[in-house]
Amino acid sequence: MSKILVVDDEKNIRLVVGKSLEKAGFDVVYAVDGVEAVDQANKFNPDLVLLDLRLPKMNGFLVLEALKGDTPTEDIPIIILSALSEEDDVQKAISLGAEDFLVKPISQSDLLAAVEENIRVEERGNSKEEENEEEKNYEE
Amino acid sequence: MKIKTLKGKMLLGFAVMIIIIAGVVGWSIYNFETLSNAINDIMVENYRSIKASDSMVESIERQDSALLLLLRSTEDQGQEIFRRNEKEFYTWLARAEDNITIEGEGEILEQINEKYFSFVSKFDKFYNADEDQRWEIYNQELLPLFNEIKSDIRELRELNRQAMVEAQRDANSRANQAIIYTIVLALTVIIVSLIFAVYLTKQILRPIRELEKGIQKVADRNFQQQVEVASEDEIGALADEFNEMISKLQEYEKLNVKKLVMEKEKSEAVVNNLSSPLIVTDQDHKIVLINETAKELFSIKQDVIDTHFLEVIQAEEIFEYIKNPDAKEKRTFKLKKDDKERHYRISTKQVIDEDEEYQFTVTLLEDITRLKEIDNMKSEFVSTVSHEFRTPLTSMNMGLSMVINEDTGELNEEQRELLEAAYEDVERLTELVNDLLDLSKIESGRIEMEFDKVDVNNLIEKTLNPFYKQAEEKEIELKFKQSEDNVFAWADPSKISWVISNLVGNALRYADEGKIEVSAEVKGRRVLVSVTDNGPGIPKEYQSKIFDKFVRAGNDKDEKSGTGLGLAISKEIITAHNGRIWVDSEEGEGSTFSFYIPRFGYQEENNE
Repeated sequence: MSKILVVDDEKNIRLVVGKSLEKAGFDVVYAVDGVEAVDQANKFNPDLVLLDLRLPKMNGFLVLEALKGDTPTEDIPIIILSALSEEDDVQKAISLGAEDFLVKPISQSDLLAAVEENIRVEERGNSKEEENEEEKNYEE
Repeated sequence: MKIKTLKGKMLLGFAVMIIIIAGVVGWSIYNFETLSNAINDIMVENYRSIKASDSMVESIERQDSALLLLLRSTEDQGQEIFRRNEKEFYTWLARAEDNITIEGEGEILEQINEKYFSFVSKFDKFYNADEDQRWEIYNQELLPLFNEIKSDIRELRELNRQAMVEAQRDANSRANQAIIYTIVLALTVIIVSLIFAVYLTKQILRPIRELEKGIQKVADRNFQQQVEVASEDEIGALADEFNEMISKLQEYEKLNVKKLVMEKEKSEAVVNNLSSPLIVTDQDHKIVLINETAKELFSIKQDVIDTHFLEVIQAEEIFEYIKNPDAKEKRTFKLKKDDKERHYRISTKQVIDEDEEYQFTVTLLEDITRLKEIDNMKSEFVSTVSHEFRTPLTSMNMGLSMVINEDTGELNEEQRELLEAAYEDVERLTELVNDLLDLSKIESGRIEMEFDKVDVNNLIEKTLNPFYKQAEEKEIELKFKQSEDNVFAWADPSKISWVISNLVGNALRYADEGKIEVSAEVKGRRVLVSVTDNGPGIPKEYQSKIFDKFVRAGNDKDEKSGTGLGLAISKEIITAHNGRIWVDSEEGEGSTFSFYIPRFGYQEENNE
């Protein structure tokens, strides 16, 4: 079963996102701040991280940088889920290696679609094509 | 008594001349008279005495001859001759005695008279004597007497002759004197007349000259000096009138000047106290007027009047804007003041004077930094609030959708209906938040326009695609009326597409049936895109406000309304293109939303 790390300081977001993912059949682990996010990622080696940008202790960009810059975690796909939607933020996140950028609020179906698209599967060969498609999504 | 009138003066002048001439004439007559008297003396008095003397000599000589005749015994003839000449002699003697004019003449005549009486008495003695005695008497008595008488007469004659010579000399000298006097007098009169004539002319001309000078001064608009004409004649009266006219003119001028100065001071005060920088330039872009605020802004310390704009203000952007008299749109420039960046909205106005000779450009720079700051704060606030809305909206959206999808268990109809209503509003709120964020981004300039050459026909076709199905459902005919090929604009295609979508979406939302027509055409330097519907139309009072935020036309009791931000965002997008968006609408007949964007190839003239 694929494991997803949901990083958000908002309890309600963790609840609804977690529930949605669980209902869709994923294993979900949580982190409430940036430091915990890095710990959890190293601890559970999830197949996907849903990462908020505005986080206590260590912001999302730093988490992104830490995960993508460290060998054990660099292959974990990361989807940003944030209320920030500035072009600069999106560009920064993509350049730091985020696979996708979702802007809050998002519907359950859109979230699941993005998760399905980016989650790490055993066959690594697909990932490059997927990345190309993803870039189109950022523009929107 | 003073003669006051010009006529009087001239008459006086003539009168004086006439009197002088009369004087000269009188003087001449007097001289002639004197001369005539002198001649008269010579002719009448002395000549008469001389004639008498001569006649007396003649008579006495005849008597002497008579005596000689008698000596030769020619009795009768001698006597007769003697007596006749005796008579004659007395006649002339009497005449001479009547004409005594010279001193001594009387005594001589008396002597002659005595001697002649003795001579005649002796004649009687002679006549009565015999021949021998006669000779003796003649030689002894008569002849010496005769000689004596003759000598006396000669003396008389000489006396008179001398008197005559004297009289002649006297007459001559008188005549000479008269000539000299006359010449002197005539000369004096001529000189006096000349002086008088010059004086009179001057007297008459001087006030005229003064008046002339005065008129010249007035013609040169010098109302300070009055014409000083002392005379009280017609010219004096004219000068008085003239002076009155001058003082009235002066008063008028003073009033005018005072008014003008006041107006000027007023305008200057207004201009200088204007908190906004103001610069007035002429058609050669030379500075005509600049207020203190403008000087402060551009750190100008010296006098810059009549200096070229660019020499004083090194802001080419602003100069380009001023140079173009057609620039009507206000533009915003950033300028540094006290090392701080400030925003100025610039506007120009062409001023043409009455004669259309001078053309001025009034440039006003409005400091809108504070407004900008407030606007930025507002945008920031809206942005922050909107961001803060997003997280709770996410949980609401996802939570509700999970429940509605019955992931958490079955729902009854009532529960579903309520939850779906809630979900719908969450979606609306989401849309609103997104629109608000878009708007604040565009307003704050955080969204960069990505300009490119855009095939407008193609863009419209692509934009309309998703709407055809929706239109069909509502039985609305959606049509793209392509009027010409090659309509190319200089624009951000995604943003313009957004605007067209918004306009078509609005038309679809408000129309129940009928048709929606989209068109694009080239209009000079610009491309005009219009979306026309025959929907309910927009009431007049809303037409000007419809592009403001949260303004929706008409009664919004239905659920058709969007966020109320679509047109505001559209306006921001079009404005960022340097274009213009507007609506023409007639209530009940439909609306046409149109916008201009720069045509490809002409962006330089339209764009910044």
